[in-house]
Amino acid sequence: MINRLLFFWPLLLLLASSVFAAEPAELLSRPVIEGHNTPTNAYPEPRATSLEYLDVAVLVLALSLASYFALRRRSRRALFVLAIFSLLWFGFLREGCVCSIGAIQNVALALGDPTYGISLAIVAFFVIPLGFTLFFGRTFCSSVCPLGAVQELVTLHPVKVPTWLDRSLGLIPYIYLGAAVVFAATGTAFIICEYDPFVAFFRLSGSANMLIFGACFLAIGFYVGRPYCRYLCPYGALLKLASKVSRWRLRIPPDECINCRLCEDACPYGAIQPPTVEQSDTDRRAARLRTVVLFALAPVILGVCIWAGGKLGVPMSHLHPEVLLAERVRLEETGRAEGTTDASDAFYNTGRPREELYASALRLHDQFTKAGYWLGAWVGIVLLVKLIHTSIRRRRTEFTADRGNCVSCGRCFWYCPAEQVRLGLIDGVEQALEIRTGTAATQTTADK
Amino acid sequence: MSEEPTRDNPTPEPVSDNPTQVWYRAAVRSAYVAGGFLLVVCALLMADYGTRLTKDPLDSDAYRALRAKVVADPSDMAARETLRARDQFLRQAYFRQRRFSVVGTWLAVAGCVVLIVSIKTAVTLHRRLPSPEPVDAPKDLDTWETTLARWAVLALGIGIVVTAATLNRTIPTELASLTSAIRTESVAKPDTPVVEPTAVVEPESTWPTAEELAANWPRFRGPGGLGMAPATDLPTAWDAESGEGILWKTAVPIEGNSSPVVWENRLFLTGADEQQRVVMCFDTADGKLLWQTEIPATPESPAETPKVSDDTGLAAPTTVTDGLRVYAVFANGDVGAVDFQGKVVWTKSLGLPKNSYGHASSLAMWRDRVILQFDQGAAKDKLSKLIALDGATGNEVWSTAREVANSWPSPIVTEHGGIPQIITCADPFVIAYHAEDGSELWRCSCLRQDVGPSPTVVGDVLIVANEYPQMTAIRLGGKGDITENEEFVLWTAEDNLPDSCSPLATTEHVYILASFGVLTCFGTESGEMLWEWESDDMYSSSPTLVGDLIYLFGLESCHVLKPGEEGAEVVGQGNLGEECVTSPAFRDGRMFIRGKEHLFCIGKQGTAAAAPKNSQAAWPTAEEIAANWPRFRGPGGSGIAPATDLPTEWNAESGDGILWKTPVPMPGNSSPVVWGNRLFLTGADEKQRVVMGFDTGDGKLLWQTEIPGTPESTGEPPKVMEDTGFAAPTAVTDGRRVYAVFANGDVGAVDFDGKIVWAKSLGLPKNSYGHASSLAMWHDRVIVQFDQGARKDQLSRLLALDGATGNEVWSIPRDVANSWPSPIVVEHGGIPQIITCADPFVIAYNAEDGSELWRCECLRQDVGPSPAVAGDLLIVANEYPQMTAIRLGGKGDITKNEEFVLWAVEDNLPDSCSPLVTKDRVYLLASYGLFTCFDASSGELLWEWESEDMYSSSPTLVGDLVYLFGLERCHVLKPGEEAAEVVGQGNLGEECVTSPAIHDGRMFIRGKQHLFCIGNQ
Repeated sequence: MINRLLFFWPLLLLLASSVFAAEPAELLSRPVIEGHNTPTNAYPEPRATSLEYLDVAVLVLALSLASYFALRRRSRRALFVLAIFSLLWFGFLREGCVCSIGAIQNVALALGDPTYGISLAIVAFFVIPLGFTLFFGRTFCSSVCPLGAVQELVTLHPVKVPTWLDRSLGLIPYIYLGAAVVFAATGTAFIICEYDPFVAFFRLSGSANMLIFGACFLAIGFYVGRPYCRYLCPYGALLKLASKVSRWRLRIPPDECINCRLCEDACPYGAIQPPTVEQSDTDRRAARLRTVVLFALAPVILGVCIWAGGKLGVPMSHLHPEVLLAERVRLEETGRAEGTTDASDAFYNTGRPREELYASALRLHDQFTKAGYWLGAWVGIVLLVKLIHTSIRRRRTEFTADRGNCVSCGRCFWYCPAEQVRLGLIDGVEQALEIRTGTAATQTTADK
Repeated sequence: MSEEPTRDNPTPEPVSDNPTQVWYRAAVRSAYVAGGFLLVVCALLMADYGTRLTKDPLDSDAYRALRAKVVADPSDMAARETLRARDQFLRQAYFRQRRFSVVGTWLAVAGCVVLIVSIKTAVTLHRRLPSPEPVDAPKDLDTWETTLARWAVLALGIGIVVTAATLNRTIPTELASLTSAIRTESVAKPDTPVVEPTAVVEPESTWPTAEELAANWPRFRGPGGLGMAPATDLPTAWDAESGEGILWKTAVPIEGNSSPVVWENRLFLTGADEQQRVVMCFDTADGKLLWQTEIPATPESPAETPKVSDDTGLAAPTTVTDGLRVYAVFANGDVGAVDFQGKVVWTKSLGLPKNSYGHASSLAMWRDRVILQFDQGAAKDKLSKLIALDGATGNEVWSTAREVANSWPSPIVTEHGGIPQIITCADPFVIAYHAEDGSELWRCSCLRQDVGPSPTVVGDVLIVANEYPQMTAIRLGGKGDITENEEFVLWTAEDNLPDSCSPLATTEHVYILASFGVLTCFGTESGEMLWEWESDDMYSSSPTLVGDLIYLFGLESCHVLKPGEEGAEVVGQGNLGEECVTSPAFRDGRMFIRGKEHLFCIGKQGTAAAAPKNSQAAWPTAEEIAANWPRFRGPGGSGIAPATDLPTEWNAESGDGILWKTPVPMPGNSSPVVWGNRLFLTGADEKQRVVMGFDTGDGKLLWQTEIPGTPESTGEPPKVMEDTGFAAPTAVTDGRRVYAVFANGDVGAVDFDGKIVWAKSLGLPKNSYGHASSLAMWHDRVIVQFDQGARKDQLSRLLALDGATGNEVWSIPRDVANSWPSPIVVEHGGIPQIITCADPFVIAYNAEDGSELWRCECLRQDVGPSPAVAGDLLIVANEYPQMTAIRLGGKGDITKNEEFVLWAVEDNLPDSCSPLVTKDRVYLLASYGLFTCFDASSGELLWEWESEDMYSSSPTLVGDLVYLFGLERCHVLKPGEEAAEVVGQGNLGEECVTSPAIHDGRMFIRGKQHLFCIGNQ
């Protein structure tokens, strides 16, 4: 039956087209009718500061509730309801802005351009979820982030992503984070906002491409749990780092794990780690050797990444409007481009000398090359840490939620017999196991 | 939606009749319905979107036809109504469509919500606990999964690197071919400092380029300290007593034995006595002392005066400059930097040096570092140091201890093998240091006792010499101690060794000059002595090679030698008339040498001073204008100059009070204008019209440029009175160009080097005596009062031309007859007013756009005198009918307005001389020689003074003295309360009808044939 339901997922794609209706572009020229005053464009006032603080207050409240629901009350239902509230408030009502993910760029720009004034609310949106994560794990992702919430809703038939793919795709958020910081700090673009797949839904408006992009994410999200959070979200990358050292975090069983294996496939986000087995001496030696080799290779890997980052300088600079204009004007000047564009026409009309534009573009090239080196260094470090991380073996004796990857959604609670005992739904864990199999098979993978 | 198990049914089973199964089935069906609904809505929305995207409602044939019909016949009201109705219908249809899609969107959202809720419910109800298969032994998933993950991560990393490289290749930049010059060009633009015309433009870099250094004489013995200057047309004979070959001679106020250094048009010397240490700056054009700055003592400065020998003195070291600042060190160990305006930038004290004769090593520079060889005491005292200071701050960059005794040579900096080496001479070592960090590169022990001569270098051969023990040729490139290394120590020589003069080396010859007057020539390669030349004089000054001539300044004489293979030929001799122990500086074909008391500039007449560098701003500042004499009657056309030390008596025949007198090649009645060290005159005859540029320093005619006729110029010469001539209007300058207008209506601009910038013709003016109104300027605009014909002819105009291009900015017709006054520009109430006088109106125009501000009808017939202003009091006068005092600030016609027309008088009126107005006095000069003083507030006549001469020149007030140039005589009057006192008289020996220019304490006046400079010696 479920398989048949899957037939509906293409409908999500169609959702995109429905939103085209609200496209704001003006298809008609304004009518000029006697006796009628054509209204002039009105621009909305910036959001009042008091309302900005209201958003911050809602954020703090939602984070507190999420942490309480995930860690204390251990209620999946409460988390789910909170996620819907966040989706409505931060998503549809606030139209996806302000958001913590985008706030990375405001902070980066404020650091890169001292003349940029950043509002306190944005700083709060950047810092507060990080602070909560340091104490309670990724409760922000579970039910406060509207992007997480919308994906949580559509995670209906999750499949397990192979570990190799999951680990390698896990690199992308860090690269995206680095690139977003570079583009924001250089004042080029806020790429996180420009390529936010869900903002078009929140606003019921957007370009056809962005709607299709978003619909694709939702469609993939049907099978792959939270694809944006896991494989793209730059803020998620930061939260992941913070969550690894968090003071408290979500546990699968309320107290002791009985290693019943009931939860081993429960997490749609691949965040449940099974207990480990003893390593053989040969494997241990090989692992040690591998780690040493990786450390030895570190300078090479770092060097290659920095070199590659430098190579990215010029291509990245092409996203900057000034560079784009300079390249176009140069093409026109040397006769390799025919005609002019609106941008080049506007430039010629200003009377600004070409040389000044070129000089400015060349300075931006230099700036981007420098930024490229830093980006390369960052990617190199991430790559190295990832490689070393996969080489170091940790010992686990029970089923645990991965410190970094667990988004505190609480889906695993239902599978845990100890949780059901805690809730008073059954008298003892054995009862749950009997119900499950009808037998007394309680074999576990690793006996305690 | 419920995801949590209930106590009754903790793990719900899909048993057919239980309520869970019912709910489950309901959820699945709802999902189907919602999905179908969503599908239909989405399909409709897609179709609608497609239609709206492709179909423009106003593009239908019927609509277009209707529209065309209305356009063709706008009076067809029926068609208009139909079009309006159609238009409204189409628009309403469009907005209905838009509403449909909005509603559709919400329906789709609702469908979506139902679909998701239904599926979610179904999934939750269908959820079961998993049944993990029992395993026999725990499987180690970690190993192979993580290995695969590792490789995947690595592969992704490689993918990223490859992508970056590919992107770099596939997205090239079109700007790569642009030179690096473009990078800096526009960066520099907004920051280009606006500087005074004569100031040096500050370079972008913090140190000068090699070319800049080579073009100047920045240190002792010039660029590199080599004592070589490029071939130039220097005189080979000069005599300070007769003035032959001497361009100028200036007294040096503070004594010292340091040599001059020159940067562009600035020359620097140091001087010191027991009380003070000063840096002096002279203008190379005329030797004028521009400033003299004392290097203040620091708290660390020694209180005691150093003991020095008379030969050395307290200011023996020569300064060094990098074009930004000049650096000086003195015998007491004080060092300082002064900027080009004479402001002290920093000072510091190195402590009193223990030096047997007095510290004498000159400074060197490398990049932005000042290099000091600060040797003192005996070698065992370990007091000697080589120090590098930051030029901008004086902070020590490095300091290296030297195991040498006190010494007197100056270090040189040379580059070898890419390493900048500072080469120092002292007893007993020649030591080379790395200029970057002061580390020692090599040393050679070849000097003893009191070492005076500085090293010199040619190619990679270094020549060091001292009276004892020898001269040594060393090949650069050694390391460590090379004393015994024959690869680097090339040869030595022991004849006629110098004790203070530094050697001079070319690729072929090495010359050394012994203090007792023997110049010896050696082969550079062999070290073989080739010849000797002997003089009777004593020598402290080092020899300098200028082209192929060697200049030797002895204590009392100077010889110019032409060295050959077998001997030297004396080609000239010079005499400074005083003792000389310093070495000369060269720049721009001139030689500068300091004698015991004077600084001399030796050169051939005609070697121009460096032309003043003009400001980058479009027009000069008020200060610049006030400091010059840019137009007829000077700044503001007031005829007033600040008090200065002008002579009150002069006589061109005896030469008393006359600094110079130059014939003016072209006749003209225009007056001189002066900017910086340039004086401009115009001249014209029937055929040509010229602008002449003179050097104010010596009156030399620098250039004479003809203003070419334009296609619009009329071929016929204008009819002019003899008194007026073809070149009566005075030129005007803005420090960038000089502008001139002539009697035939041609106007032109010439730059300071005499090159034509533009020329244009305003047409032959219809003028009864010849056009005579001088030019005025406002900002970068040249103001031309071009009055002609009778009033009824309506030919008169006032024009503003763009100074840079000559293009007309505005031109205003004037309701006046031809006239001869010059306009003035004054600011009142924030508005720049151009005030013009003509028959019958005084009219003020806004300089911005030429719009008329006010007018007053108070002049008649031939109007000659120009207006003059003091504060807000404007005085206009003419022979007929009156002199009128007008308060500025009126609007419209103020002729009858007593608020603005203050008073009028009708006595002793002038016909060509302009009034002189101060805040409480008005002076008029009638052409028959009556000079009258009025009270400015009431117009009351205070006194009269009468001369027998005839006057066309306007009176000029210099301080509290009035200079009146009559046709044949000049009187200097001191006006008082009740009368004027004659305090002096001048005689030019020729007729004069022009007004003087006063600049820099000198007065310039054009006579019938000559230009005179009157001033005190």
